[in-house]
Amino acid sequence: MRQAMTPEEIKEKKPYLDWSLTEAEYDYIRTHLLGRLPNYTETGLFSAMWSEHCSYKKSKPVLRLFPNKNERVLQGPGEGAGVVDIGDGQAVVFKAESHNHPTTVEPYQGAATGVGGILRDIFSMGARPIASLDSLHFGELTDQTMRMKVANTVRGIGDYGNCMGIPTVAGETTFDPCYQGNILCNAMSVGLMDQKDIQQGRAAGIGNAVMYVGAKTGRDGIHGATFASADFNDENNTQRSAVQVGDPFMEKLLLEACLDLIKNHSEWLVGIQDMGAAGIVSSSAEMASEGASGMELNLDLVPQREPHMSAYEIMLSESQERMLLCVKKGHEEDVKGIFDFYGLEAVTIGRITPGHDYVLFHDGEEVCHIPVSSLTDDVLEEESLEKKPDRIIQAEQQTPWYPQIVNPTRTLLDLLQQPTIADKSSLYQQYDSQVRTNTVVGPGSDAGVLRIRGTRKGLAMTTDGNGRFVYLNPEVGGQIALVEAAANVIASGAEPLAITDCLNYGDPTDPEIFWELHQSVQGMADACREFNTPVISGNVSLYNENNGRAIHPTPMVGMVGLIKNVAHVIPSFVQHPGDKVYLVGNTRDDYAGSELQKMLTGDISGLVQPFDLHHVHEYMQKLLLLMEKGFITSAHDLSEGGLGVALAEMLFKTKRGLELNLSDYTAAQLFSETPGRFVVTVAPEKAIEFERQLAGDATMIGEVTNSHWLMAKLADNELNVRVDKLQKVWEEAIPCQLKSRD
Amino acid sequence: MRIAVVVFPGSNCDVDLYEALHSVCHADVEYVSHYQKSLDGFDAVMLPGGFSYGDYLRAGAIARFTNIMPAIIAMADAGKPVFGTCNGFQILTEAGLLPGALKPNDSQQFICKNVPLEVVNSETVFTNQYQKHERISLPIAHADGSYYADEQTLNRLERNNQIVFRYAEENPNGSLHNIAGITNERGNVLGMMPHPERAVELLLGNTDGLRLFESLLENGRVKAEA
Repeated sequence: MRQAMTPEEIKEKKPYLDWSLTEAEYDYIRTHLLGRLPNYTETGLFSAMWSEHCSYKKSKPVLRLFPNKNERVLQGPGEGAGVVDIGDGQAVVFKAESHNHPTTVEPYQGAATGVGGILRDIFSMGARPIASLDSLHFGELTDQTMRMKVANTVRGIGDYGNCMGIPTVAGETTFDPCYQGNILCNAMSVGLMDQKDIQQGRAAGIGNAVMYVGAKTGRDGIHGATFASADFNDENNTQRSAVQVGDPFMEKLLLEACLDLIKNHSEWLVGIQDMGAAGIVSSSAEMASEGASGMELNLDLVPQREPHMSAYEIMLSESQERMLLCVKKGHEEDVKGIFDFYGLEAVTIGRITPGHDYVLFHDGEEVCHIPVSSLTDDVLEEESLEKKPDRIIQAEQQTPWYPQIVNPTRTLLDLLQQPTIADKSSLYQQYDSQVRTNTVVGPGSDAGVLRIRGTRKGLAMTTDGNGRFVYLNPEVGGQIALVEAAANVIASGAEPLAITDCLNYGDPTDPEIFWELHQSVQGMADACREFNTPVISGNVSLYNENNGRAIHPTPMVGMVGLIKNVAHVIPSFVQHPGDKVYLVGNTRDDYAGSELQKMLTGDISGLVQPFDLHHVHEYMQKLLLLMEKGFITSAHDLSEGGLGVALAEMLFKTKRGLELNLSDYTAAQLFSETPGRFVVTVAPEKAIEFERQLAGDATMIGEVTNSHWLMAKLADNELNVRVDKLQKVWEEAIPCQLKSRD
Repeated sequence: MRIAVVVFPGSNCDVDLYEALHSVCHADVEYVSHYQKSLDGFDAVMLPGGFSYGDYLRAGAIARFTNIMPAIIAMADAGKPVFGTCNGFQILTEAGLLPGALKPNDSQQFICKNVPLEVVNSETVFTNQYQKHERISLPIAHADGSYYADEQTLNRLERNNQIVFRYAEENPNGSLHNIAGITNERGNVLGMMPHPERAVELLLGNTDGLRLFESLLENGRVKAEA
């Protein structure tokens, strides 16, 4: 197929504007990078590679705020996924990625291919994926379309992960009207590897082969990267052609074949990279750039699912389950043999060439001849305007909202039915959480915990994001996201190692939104430094808007922690009657952005108050030490719904109860959401020493009973309720709302 | 006793079965590829869970045409233990080694959770370490686990004591007669939807599946000594 337009026609008709390349960028490419008019194929490649999704041109200045190194980090951002040393020659590899736009348009395939994409990032590093997590943010379940989207998103995640045989062990699901027109679907994958097997996405060595492996290339997902870099409106919300279709069976074969090659024949391999966003062009150009090489590809050799695809379509297709390899010359047939065994194609489509040019042939003609760096390194960073939103300036002046709680039992029952708090087991039961038999703690706890077979070690992992706090105070909200993740990991008895993130925001050309991005990343970065948890991988998803209305800024933190002895993992529900119950951390009147405020007022408002990050980190470290020493019999971190909800959750699925003296706390404070708090239980004989160690930061509030009642005296009220009553409303809320036909 | 764990394209509980036998039971176990045509030297064969051939067409429908299948059928015919869990059970019904079929769950959803089971027959080579009518709990993890057979077949299964496990309390998938696991008439081929291999270690919270493997291995020991 010939070029659809001549270079002159492109200059005149400006099709690139529809592909999200700006006038200024086009001019810069023309005058500074090429010194000539780019042809149709080249213009397409530039528009994909210069999209925010591939180049981070807008977010880069902000991303530089993150720390991404420490003594444990073996690979930071820039590769398929980050890698962290966990001792014994082993490493944990993880990354999260957003698939928000595809999931909003076509929830089933969008979510499924989100899982597929992140898994390839993990095994392209040479690691075997051992667990998946997700972070899902939906609109309200009162909307019939949203109920269908929830069901299909969950089915998509389940079908892909279940078929791959990778357990989904943790995650979060929240509901807020701000996600009604733009769902957030973030998927995280965690892999385990021997450090000697670490791979790079690199192509080098003149004459070496560029090999294409996996599924054939079709017309699906063309311009997915630019699709992800523009916001929604009613006209484009059915852009289904930009959504890819997943085949998890193909990916399972690809996983086994790639790991077979990496583990047993790494001497044949120079580099390997997933074909993710912007398909062949991004993987090949990035590999060539990494190896400082030139590259020549013959697109006629690319396995194709349909006839008459243009060079542009072949290069930009985001067909799933494909990988690009750089293989040492002379070993092409050897590699082909491995992939043959798994029933997969492996085809040499090009070679590494001298120089630094990126050259493509199609139908016997040269269709692209540009410097590699023009696609990868020369992208113009964009300066963004910033403006502090009026809502925050106003909130700073106002007196904070204070809830009136007349009947705390009623309030607790109501809170437990809020979809963000209610039991999610009807959703996560659709995920295989046990396959590969390493899951010590599955979904429904603070963090998922896996043992590392053959060692005493374990890994705890969690995803956390709370857009409401970030919306009301981006900097403090960013800190809270990190503290919440750390609290979940520590509550399981693990030491936080590092994080990955998905930065989900609205349109960054809006100065208020860019300000939110900047402030919240600053908050996260400060907290990462405090906790020594560098950002080792992640992604940015901007333009999450519908009809001009942005989502709450929702940075998601995916954290992994290391447990020294997995046999001593700390459960999140109470164990023994007679154990003393402690509240760790200071409780204030923090209601701005709380679940309580949303429930009682229908909206969120106010200013989320700053807190002492360093102090929180100090007592969390002490708490972890006490856990490792066996002081703690159970622990649960406080999040949505505060102390009241946490106490109830610690009793669910047990036969126990709690008798508490909370006379220092008001009924409202039972539902305050001050960050960095835990409820822990301690055996009575260890209580004195525990109190001594955590002096000032732990308050004894009562003890575990045999009665299956939650009973608490408050300063201004009383809480008295049977646990089964609480559990019933908590369990039934989501299944009931999902089945509703209203 | 030497046990083969067959690996089909798309098997993904092969590791679970292998590790249950190897790390926990210290049994002599080996992976065998679907390409192989022989199971010579093996005393028992196990078909793991997963999604062989992506469950495309029908769960287990393509796996039954692999090279290894005649060897598995020959082992069944020779009276040696043949065990299939989840996708393995589906393959055994597709291959005709067990009667009936596994349909999509009534809920039309994949379900992963622990379910209570009743051990109905504790006299098979796979279950002799359990008590008759004993209540155990094992994980299920499947989308197509609703057991179906015609009335005549169901009556025959009941009469011949071929129903080995039944769902107790709740029926999670719509299986007829609450069937969770059955044997062939001779009793040497067992297929079940629950995953005993996932319930063999206290660390992972459940050991109710351990005795299934111990039954088989104990049986093998007794045979070897005789």
